[in-house]
Formats: sequence, C-alpha cells, structure tokens
Amino acid sequence: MSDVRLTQRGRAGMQFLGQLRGVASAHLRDIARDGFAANPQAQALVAEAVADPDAAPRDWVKRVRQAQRVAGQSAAFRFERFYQNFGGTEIFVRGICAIEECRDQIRADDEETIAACPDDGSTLELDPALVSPDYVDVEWHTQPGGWDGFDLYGPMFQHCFAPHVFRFGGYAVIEPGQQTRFSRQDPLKLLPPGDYRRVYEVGCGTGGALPVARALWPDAELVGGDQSATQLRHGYLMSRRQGLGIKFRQRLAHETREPDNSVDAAISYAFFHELPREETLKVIAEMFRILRPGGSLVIVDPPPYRSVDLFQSVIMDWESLHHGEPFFSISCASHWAAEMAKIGFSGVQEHALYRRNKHPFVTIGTKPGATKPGGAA
Amino acid sequence: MSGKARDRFFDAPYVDELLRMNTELLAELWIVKDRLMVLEHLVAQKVGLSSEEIDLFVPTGELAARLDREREALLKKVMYSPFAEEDRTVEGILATHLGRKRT
Repeated sequence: MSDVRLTQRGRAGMQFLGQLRGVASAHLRDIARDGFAANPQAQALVAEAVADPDAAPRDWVKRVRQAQRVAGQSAAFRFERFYQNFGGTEIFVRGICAIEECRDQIRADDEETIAACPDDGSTLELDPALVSPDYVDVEWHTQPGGWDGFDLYGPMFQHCFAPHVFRFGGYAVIEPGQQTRFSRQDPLKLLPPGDYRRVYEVGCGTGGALPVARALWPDAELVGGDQSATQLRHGYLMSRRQGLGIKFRQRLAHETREPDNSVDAAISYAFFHELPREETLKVIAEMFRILRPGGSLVIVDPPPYRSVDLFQSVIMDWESLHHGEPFFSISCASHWAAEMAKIGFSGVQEHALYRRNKHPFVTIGTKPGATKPGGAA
Repeated sequence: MSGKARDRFFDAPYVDELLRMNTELLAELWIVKDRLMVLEHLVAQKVGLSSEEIDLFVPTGELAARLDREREALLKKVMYSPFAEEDRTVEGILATHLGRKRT
C-alpha cells in the first residue's frame, strides 16, 4: 500500500487544530481548575460529592451540571472550552477536505489491497436490512452526518486525526500529551490467563481493540460487531492489509446473533459512553449470554464520576452538552460494575490504569461456571 | 442532523463570532508559516536561494493574479466562519472549501 500523504495545507491545518486543544487544556484549564477550587459554591458541591459517591445516576448528572454552571463563572474556563469546541468541530471541516483531496489514491489502495493481500480469514458481513436504533442518529463528536455521513471517515481518522490531531492529547478525557497507544493493550492484559479461542468485540467500529487482541492471541477467532457499515468496511480493509483475520459483522449491540456460550472474552472498548443507559444494560446481558462459563467481559471506557474530582467530571460532562456525546454523562454517572454483578457476573473488578485522569477505566467480570477461559471447570 | 445552533461560550453579542474569526485566522496564519518554513528549507537545500532574494522579489503576471485569488478565498473563509453552522454538511463543506459542485 502506498503512503497516503495529505497536502501541506491539510497536514498543517490538522496539526494546528490538534495542538490548539492541547495547548488550551494544558494552560487555560489549570487556571480554570484553580478558580473552581477556590469558589465556595464549588466547594459545597465537592463536599456533597465526597459524602455521597454512590448517588443515583440522574442525581450525579444533576450535581455535575450544577458544577458546570459554577465552572462557567470563570473566563479561563469559557476560553478553554471555546478552543476545545473550535478544535473539536473544525477538525471535521478541515479533515473532510484534506482526505477528499486524497480520494483517488485511497480508493486505488483499497482495490490493490483486495487484489494483492492473501486471504487471511478476514471477512465483512453487512446486513442491508439492519435498522439502526434512533439513538444512533447523532452527529457523534460533531461529525457531519454521523458515523456513516461520509464514505472517507475511516481514512480521515486514520490519516488525519491519528497522526496529526490525537497525538497532542488535551481533548475530552485525554490529558494533554497523554499517549493513548497503550490504552487498548493494557486493559486486555488484565483478563485472567487462559485459552482464548474466540473473542468478540461489541461496537468495534473500525476494529477497536481487536488488532491488539490478535497480538495477544495469535490463533483466536476474532469477531467484531458494529452497526456502521462505513466503519466496518474500513476495519475490514485494515484487517486484510495487516493480515489480522478479523471477522466484521454488521450487528446491533444488543442482538449480536452469536450463539449462547460461544466466546471466551467479550470486549467493549470506548463504546458504552455512546449508548443510552437502558441499551447498555441490554448489551451487558447480551455479552453475558454469549460468553462461555469462565469467560470474561472487559469494559474500557472513561472513568465514572465517583472516581475523579468534580472539576474533571465537569470536563467530561461538557462532552454531553457540547460535543455530540449525548450519553457520555449518564454513562459516567452509572456504576457498571454493580450492574454487571446484578446481571450475574462474578468477581467484578475495577482498574484505573493511569493515575491523574483515571482513563482508561477498566471493569472486568467473569461468567460463573468454570475456573478459566476455554471451558475447563 | 445538520443546522444545529452553534454553542455559545460568551454572554456579550458577537464575541463568539469574533473569536471564531480570530482563531480561523490563526489557523490560516499557521498553515502559511508552516509552508514558508518548509519552502525556505527546501529552497535553501536544493537551489541555494537566499532569503534576501526572496525578500526582494516582486510578483507579476500569473503569480500576481494567483495571489489575488488566494487572498479573496482567505477573506471569504474568514468572513464566512461565523455563519458556517448554517450549512455544516459534508456537501456544504466540500462546496465551500474545495469548490465542489452540489449534487
């Protein structure tokens, strides 16, 4: 595959917007954080949060919204949020243009991939009859037209955002300069040792954590489900190019159509915060159904509000209010470990992998009935 | 899904719009500075042209006309930025920024 190169304008524009957010969060956010800490109204809300960390999800959201208004009294907060909003929305405007200029090369590469790469077991199973639920009809992260709004969104994330925007950090829950390349790998290493023969990722998008899963389990059958055909297509081509042998299936998250007791591990990477709470509960139950006894569900997502300070919760809640993440806040206000236990998972554990922002936050639970994955009792 | 009112961060009228124009200009300024640094590096390396010769050059003919067109495009981009939300679709973005025809 030839190297997709953005024009100088495309590259420089992406880098500017990426660094705009990184610099704003690294410098203005600390001023806003200090102002928040010194504000008596904020102090009262912090005391309430510390005293009642297990508040009901809607009460948590209400509390964080109050803190949001207090934080908004600070000019530094408003400017920092303005730059976050500008960078977060304009990356799509400039990214769409930058990748459109590379269209011919990308499409030629796609054809070359199919023709040249040996059959490695990668498959793409689309379901034209699949009806997406209403909650999917959102311009996620302010992405024009939503997940399937532009056929080059996959290449845009790969060639514009990953190398030129995300590397600066300082967006959403990511700290400025925080390198996210281990955020897929480290959570999977927390799974209990065992024979992982079949692994399913729900809401896998363009692949999620499955490429990392391939490195950990070279002989496992890897299956990814998502409702977005655009993302699945891009993931399939990536899998073919890299010889990963991933099976991509267009599926609803709560109806995977996988058999009962058929997978050794189920993964949800950066997905639960994009679901309504009721849907998430259905997805946890669906993962429980398809897991073999002894298999584990690993959830990797932003941290819950109860695990971070209130100002950080405000930053996360802002995503729900201003950045095309309608369910981010209710997800962070929920206690997924407790919900997993109610559904039947045992030994549910929580791990905050990085100290400062607690992201990614990992929740793991096991379906009872066997001592380790692979079915041995 | 398009046509959503833009989020506002400041209370006084037009502050958000002016800051958007300012930040858009900052983006364009950076792109030009980036290009200039790349160009001067390549020109010095491959042609041996000094920065003094560049300082003294006067554009004429097609280059002068191209500069006029690019300046106009820049002005339109900055002036358009406060109203961009009204047409924030993939088709609108490609028409506005790359001059593509709408279907």
